[in-house]
Amino acid sequence: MAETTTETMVLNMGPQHPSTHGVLRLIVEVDGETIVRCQPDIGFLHTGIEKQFETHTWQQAVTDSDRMDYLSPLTNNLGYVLAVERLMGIEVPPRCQAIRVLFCELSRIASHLVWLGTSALELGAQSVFFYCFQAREAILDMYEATAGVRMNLSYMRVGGLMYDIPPQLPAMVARFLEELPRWISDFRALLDGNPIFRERVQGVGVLTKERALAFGVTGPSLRASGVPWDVRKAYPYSGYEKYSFDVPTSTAGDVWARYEVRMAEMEESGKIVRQAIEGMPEGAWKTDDRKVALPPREELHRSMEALIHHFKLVAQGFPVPAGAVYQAVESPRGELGFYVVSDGGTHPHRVRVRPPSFYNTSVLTRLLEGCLLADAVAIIASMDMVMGEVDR
Amino acid sequence: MAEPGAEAGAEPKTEGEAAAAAGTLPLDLTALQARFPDVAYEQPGIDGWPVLRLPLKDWRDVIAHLRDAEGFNILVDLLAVDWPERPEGRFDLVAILRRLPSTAQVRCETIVDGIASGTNAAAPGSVRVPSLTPLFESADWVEREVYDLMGIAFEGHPDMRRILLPDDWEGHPLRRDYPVEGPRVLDPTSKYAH
Amino acid sequence: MAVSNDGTPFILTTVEQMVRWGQKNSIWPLTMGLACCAIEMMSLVTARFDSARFGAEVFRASPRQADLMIVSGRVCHKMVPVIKQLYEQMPEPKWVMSMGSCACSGGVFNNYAVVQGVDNVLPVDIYVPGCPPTPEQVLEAILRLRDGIAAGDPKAGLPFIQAASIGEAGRG
Repeated sequence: MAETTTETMVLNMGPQHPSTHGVLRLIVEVDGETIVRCQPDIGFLHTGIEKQFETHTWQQAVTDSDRMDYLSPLTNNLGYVLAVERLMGIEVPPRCQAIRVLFCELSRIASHLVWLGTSALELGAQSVFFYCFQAREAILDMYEATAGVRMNLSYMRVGGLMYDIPPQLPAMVARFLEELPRWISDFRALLDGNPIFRERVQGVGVLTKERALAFGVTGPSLRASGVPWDVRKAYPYSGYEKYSFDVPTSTAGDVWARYEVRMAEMEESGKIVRQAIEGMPEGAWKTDDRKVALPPREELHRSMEALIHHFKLVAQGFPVPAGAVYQAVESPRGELGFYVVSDGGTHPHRVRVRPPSFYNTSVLTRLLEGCLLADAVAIIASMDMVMGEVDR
Repeated sequence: MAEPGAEAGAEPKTEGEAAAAAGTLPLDLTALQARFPDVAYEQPGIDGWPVLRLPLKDWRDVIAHLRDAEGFNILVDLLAVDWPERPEGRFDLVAILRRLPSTAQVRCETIVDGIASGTNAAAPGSVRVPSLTPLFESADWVEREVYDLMGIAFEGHPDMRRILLPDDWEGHPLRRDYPVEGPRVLDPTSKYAH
Repeated sequence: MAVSNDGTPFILTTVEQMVRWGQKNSIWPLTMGLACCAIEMMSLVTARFDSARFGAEVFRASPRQADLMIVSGRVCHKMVPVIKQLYEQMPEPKWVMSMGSCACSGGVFNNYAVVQGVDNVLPVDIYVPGCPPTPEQVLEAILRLRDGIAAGDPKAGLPFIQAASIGEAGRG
């Protein structure tokens, strides 16, 4: 009797695929339903952002940082401006720090809401998507009231902020915080007890601690594998040491663990938002260093010096002392690092971004091996990558 | 008003600064320099982490030493900076290493020179940098990215291909002498010139 | 409307108008998210904006079932062959919406990696400026596209940028 021979099949998944979170392409070799090998192909959204940084002045370049991780643009803003401020030795006032923390945590919640909505959608739970986006609209309304746009805010500036927060913001935040626990319990009610959802995520896509560390995975995906690493705790920035919050972890390392960690993170972010808005210091919201920040409008009519500063800042920007710094912040996806090099000029010499999604995506090469093809969707969603950041 | 450097006298923020303030080092420098005499150590700078300047020939060996003897178990990032006019050499190659679960971090920098300019950087004869892939799995993709955008090829990398740009792309865009507009300026007949 | 001899009312129309009526009320967009704008495109179907009111909420994952390609974000050189192929796979009649500054003109990214306007590679029917455009703007574009389809002019969207200023078009 002739022996049965089997052969593997190569499948192409993406870059246009409803569940690859953007334009990720996976070349998957399958043996029946089991993935033997997976080779992610990235670069379909390569935008040249690191090069674009070099063409803008230090202040203009804030707009480039938004468009990498567009689900939490403010975290990108913060990482970049902190790096430049460190190079220049600028300290921003406490109010500015608190506003920055407030918006970073709001964008963490907004980002996790998109992750939750889309991952649930990909696993067939459509209503969660609608609830998540409705909750996210409340945050986008706050963005819009503050910076005028719903996404890509570019709200932060080297040396401060674009504007102060609007007077109605505290009430909006308070209303949001009141509703957040109810929203989270709604999501949990829809998913936690859902046998289909649990079957599809529990024990699926186990990322071991060793593998996560070896591939440089950071953020919730690392914490779900049992490593309590959070840049906000390890290297506090922008006054994070003043806030009390926990770093949720889990040891299972599967898709369910990553779900649990992110859900708990939303609650923790809510706590930080509450502390930030309730303890918001009064005072200046940007540095008064005239070499960096624009002078107040009314001074332009009276002071020649202010006019000169204004003109120089707008026309050519400010120079930054030569040097290099690495500044890390905790983005919703993990450790977002900015390695900023100045040659002493008015434009960055080099801005290197350490994109957390890039490293979190690279682990897919190993993570998907041996999984069922259908589980790949759940695993990709649980790593929560943003292709704008992977490809830059 | 904050003067530049005004916070220098403030309390140390990172483990590196704290160690420097206490007169200790985040690593055993004597043992390192006994093995690799050409390694220079720099005290923590503005970002609070020490810098090790190494010659290219020691690149992989020093990082292996840091990993095995000092416990720096994470390659946080790898990147290159282009200085076209610099006499000491054109590229800075920077690796950021971290020792988890502590917060110690060290930056290794080396100068890479002798890479062909122009479009095909991986041309034969160009210097190749020893790959870190045997030490860290995370080096795989990031070395491909450095190759793709900066044109520094790595010796011993299992899959030295472009990662972000199309495979038939000409040139390495993050180099300073590469025009921002790219193919539209370099070669208007190129299929990438729109 | 007229009434027949036995009293039954009836409508007279042409086949063409009938078809256009059907087309304009069931624009099925292709699920193709590229960048930031894709998130706003997703918001389009959610409760606040609810493009189902205009029959355009059925996002199709397969290009063979889609009528409208929303190019939502910057188009990079590596992506060009992909979107060309997707466009070719869509059955006629089909429309292309260029959503956002990057898709319209390259936007802030005047650099080596980004195609300076998706109209370099695809015939665009309607342009929506903004970074990213608000979902209201996209709804406006869909409404204008519907008007264009009803009028039998496939390029009906073009006056959107020619006649209307951005301020009028963009309520955001």
